[in-house]
Amino acid sequence: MAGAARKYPLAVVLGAFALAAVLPAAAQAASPLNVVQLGDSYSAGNGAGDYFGPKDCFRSSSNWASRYLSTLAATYNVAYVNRACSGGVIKHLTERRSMDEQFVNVFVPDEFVDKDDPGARQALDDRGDCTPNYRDDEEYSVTPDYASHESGGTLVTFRCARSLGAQIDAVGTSTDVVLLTIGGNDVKFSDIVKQCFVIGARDPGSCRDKVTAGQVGIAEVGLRTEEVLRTLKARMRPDARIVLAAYPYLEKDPDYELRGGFLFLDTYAVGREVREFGDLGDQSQRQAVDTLNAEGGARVIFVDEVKSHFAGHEPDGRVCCRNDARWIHEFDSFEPMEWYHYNSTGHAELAGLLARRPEILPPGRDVVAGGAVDIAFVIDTTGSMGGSIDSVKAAAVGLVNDVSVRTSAARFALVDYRDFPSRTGDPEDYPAKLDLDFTSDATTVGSAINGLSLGYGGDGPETMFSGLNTAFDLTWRPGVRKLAIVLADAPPLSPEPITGLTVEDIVQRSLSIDPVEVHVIDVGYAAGPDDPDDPDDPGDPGDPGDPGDPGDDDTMATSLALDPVREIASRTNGAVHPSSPDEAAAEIAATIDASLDQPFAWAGGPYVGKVGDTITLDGRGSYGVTSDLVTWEWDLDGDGTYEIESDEATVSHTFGERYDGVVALRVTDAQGTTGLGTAITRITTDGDEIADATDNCPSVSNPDQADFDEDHVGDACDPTAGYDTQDKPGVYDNSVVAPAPAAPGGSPVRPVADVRVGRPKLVRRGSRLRLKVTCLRSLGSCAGTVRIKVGGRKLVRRYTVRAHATKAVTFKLPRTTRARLARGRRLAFRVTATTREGITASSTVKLRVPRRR
Amino acid sequence: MGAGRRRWAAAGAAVLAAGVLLAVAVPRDGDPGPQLRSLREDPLGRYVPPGGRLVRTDANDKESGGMFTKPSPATFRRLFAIPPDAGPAAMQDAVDAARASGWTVGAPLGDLGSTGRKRLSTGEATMAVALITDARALPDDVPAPALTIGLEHN
Repeated sequence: MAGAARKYPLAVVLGAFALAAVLPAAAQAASPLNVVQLGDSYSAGNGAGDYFGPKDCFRSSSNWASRYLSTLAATYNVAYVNRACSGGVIKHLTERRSMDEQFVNVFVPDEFVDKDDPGARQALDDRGDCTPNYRDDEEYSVTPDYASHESGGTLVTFRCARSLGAQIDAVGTSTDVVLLTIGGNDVKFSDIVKQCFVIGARDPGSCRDKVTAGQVGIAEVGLRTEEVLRTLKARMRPDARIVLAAYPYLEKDPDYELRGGFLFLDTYAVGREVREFGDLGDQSQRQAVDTLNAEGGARVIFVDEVKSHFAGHEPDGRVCCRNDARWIHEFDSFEPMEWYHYNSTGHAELAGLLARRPEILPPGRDVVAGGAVDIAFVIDTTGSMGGSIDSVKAAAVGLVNDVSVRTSAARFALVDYRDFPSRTGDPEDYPAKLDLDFTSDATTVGSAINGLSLGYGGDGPETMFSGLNTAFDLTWRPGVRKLAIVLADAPPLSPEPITGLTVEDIVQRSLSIDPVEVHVIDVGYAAGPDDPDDPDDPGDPGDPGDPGDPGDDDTMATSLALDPVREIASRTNGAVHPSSPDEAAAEIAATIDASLDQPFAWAGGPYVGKVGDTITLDGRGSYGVTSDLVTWEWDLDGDGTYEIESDEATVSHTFGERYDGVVALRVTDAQGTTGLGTAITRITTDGDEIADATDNCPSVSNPDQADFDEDHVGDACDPTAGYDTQDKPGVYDNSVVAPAPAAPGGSPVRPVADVRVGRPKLVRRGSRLRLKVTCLRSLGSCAGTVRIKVGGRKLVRRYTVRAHATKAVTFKLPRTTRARLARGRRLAFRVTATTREGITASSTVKLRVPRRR
Repeated sequence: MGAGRRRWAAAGAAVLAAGVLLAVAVPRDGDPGPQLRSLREDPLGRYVPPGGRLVRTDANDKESGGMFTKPSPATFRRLFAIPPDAGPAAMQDAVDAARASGWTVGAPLGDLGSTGRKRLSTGEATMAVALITDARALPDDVPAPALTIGLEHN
């Protein structure tokens, strides 16, 4: 047995863990808490700002879950993964979701290539239009569509279909808490909002139809909710928690009515019906939760006090008014996907509600027992590997079982690699092959390993990079340790021909998956057993890499090609482990053992912001396994150099320039062992993740790219966004026929529809009367007329004022009025303001020309 | 013609004109997309429970999202009024019909209904048969109980 294996026999380690389990909890800094968020826009974070993640998902780092989990930092090391996505329906929890499709043209400087030309595909990959930003979640299906030959080259068009993985893939036995809202899109909340509240789109008939459709759909949604929650429970431990949050009411005022329609005779009690609809939804979800909790297993907690807590803070759908105490966005944002979702206060309030429910948190669990791990074996199956593979075959099932016992949730996958047939001349060869996707079943893993067959070839450079790349393509779970165990006796082809893969490619791919630690078991090691007392020996755990160790004479070390392996291993927190072929299995076991003892690093994020933003990098989810953490180091650009070293888990950093990559967090425990975590980081000009070249508003964060008037200028940048400010002809709500009472004389006119008319003022020594009209809308504009009546004369001025703007309206007074004012008379002016919605209010003020001082 | 008859004639003409205007003005649905079409054309999309009366159909084509619309899959849901004491039998008949037309139906979810799945020519789809006994979840003119059969494309 190699030295490392002798020092860390699994049985001894297991015994130590059993001892650790009975030590007082104070031996550990805090308990790990793995939290996964699932669901729709009310979960993802619409309305909270600070968005990140796949386009159109609106995941927010300021959503209610993030705020709630921040309050737990003193007690738990929280690793939080947000898989919720705006627009999600119930089945997107368990099934892949199709997002959007685009056609992308690439130009290949060759006039006679066909659409399947690898160069065209390479050009597409280089452009990145069809490359997922979040590989553990997002996927593009790319199909060459057609090629058109042009002078000087060929234009190849690709069809790129984007999809998201099933949200539930992020949940497993290592998950402690799932937070979610779901069902709103199944009953078409957005249709209800559009037809019942959006000016220009609303009308009583359509509103009634959508609400009724929603009501009829609730029974079905209840079934689907029960079914999906049962599936979720089956994936989780019995002591885990599922927290289902109810939705708030969509309308504050039960008396809100919509009128109009055919012959203008239709009236629909929107406020009452929409609120009843909300109650029905709660009842349906409560019933599903009660059924599931009667079955045992992970407990489902229904946070059904949302409606009562938000009472009075819902949107006001009437045209006259807005709810100044709202915790939910009205039409007060340039992101339509924020409308009728929690605003910042709403997210904070919901977080507060959760904080009052201590039963959400499962009983604290032991740090050591809590680890979960994904392990991919990447094995060189060229002919010279026979002895090593036989060793692994013999020990495979036992190895898998041992790791499974040591961890809370272990999964294993198998990839093997050889070389390109075009290089070896053997058509049976391949650069890499996926033999087994991730599974926890030891027998299946054993069968897959035992099914490995050897190709030809010796120990010349092989396609190790393709092997690793294939492993990286697997679906790795977020928030768990990730290991790629490479078993090889030959160095990699570097850079790899045909694929073009380089060391940097492999490192960056690993880092983008948080990372996958790459450990290379070098079975070409031929110098006999290593010396366990030699601190520089690369086989010793805790000495990852040991680049340039003069005492090592393993096969790859004798080759310049070892440098790439060492670099990959060291930058991913892995190591190169020399071993003799017949000790390969023991060395793998020792490597996994040692890795499980390393601290767990959680870099937080993803971090998305704009240049100049100060961002808090949050490593509080990290924890030590055998001793407490003492150092948190941050590599801000993924180059392997750690720019920040701190003895605190959080640090702030101002990003001075654009960046698209990862930040890495290396944590070190009191024993000097390290753990590495990464977080996707995008620092852009405007703070959203839309590339400047295609951003319709590159100076303002507008992740939904809303462009109502389709003039290619995003609404966030468009002073004439074109939103409707008038209802359909004949449509109005009951606030219009019951306008606010006229203000008493002398006060400003405060009539209607988000327009405020200020107290009039005489100017230019009484020759003019001036008053200011302020448009209180957030979008579009306000328009109408202002009239004054003085001494039996009426004067009218039209106004159009942009949202949030104030405009002066000036009246030239009649000669008789001027003359009376000039004589120092105090005159009564009746001011009437009318909006184009037809709402009118007036007040009377008495004015005289101020005396000169 | 007396004044009274003339008034009636004028009123009739007005109603007729309004009807014509309405017929012209009401937009017709465009052709459904392939996903919605395959849901509609599935045998379960045409099934009617014994004694049932179709009272409402909600058909939504696949939406890729837009200004006020979230991306959503094609759905086809029909609501049937059923005889007062026919609830469980109607649900069972619908489940049997689903199975007969190739749907894999899961275990009943209490007495609320059942869900199932099927591979259609356009891709995977799910279905839910649900019994509605709460009148508040029904249009005013539909008495409880009622049965919904919802089909949803993936």
